[in-house]
Amino acid sequence: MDFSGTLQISASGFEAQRRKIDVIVENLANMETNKTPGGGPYLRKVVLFSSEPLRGDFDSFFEEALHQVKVDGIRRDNNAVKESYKPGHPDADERGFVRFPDINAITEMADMIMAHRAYEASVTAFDATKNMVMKTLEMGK
Amino acid sequence: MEMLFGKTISLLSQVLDYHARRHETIVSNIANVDTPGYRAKDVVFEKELALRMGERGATADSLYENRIVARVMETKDPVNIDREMSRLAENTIKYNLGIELISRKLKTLRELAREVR
Repeated sequence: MDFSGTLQISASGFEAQRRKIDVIVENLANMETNKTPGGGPYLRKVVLFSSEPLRGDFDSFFEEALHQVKVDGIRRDNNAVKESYKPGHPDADERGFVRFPDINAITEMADMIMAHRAYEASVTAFDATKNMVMKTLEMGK
Repeated sequence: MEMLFGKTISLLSQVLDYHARRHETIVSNIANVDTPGYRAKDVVFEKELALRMGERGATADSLYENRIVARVMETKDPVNIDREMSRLAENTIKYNLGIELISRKLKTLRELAREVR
């Protein structure tokens, strides 16, 4: 058994979830950011996951079966902008509207809880693998 | 090998192999719980074994001679995290059971060797 491959899959799982949490935290922190270096309000970011076959010296019929997670990219949601009527705001346009990011704190929090649970699941799987390896090493003692 | 150890060690090592592979597929499922389009995978073995054991004239020896090859199958369902976590726990226990049995077999042989001395 190739334990390093199994550990690598778990690691890819919690690494991907951690990056998702990073992005969610960024979204939450920038809920009210209406100016960015690139101009315009902060745009909500979304992490995309895909699975990719684990490359390694597995048996041929396991080659395609085992998939690790890959962060496929972080996309900006270009439509996540809302206009608020704030005539007193220094950044208001001539009509008195300010463009703010359209970020729903509840959606982000729910996503964060989901990502956290998935992270924990991968950590549990990692621990199980580790215990199996340790048991194997103790065999015959 | 067989003179000294019988079939026990060789059979148990296959048990470990099976559970190790099953563990790999479960871990892969858990890691991909959030991946869109990913389908859960499973190692098919127990069903085939049950089928073979139901056949007429099946004995432990005949099952040993015609070994069943464990295959990885892709199911139609997306990953069900609760199912995977319970399978992970179950599979780990079964793997540890295999290790324990090998350890005890080796211990018996060691004790035997000590007694003869």
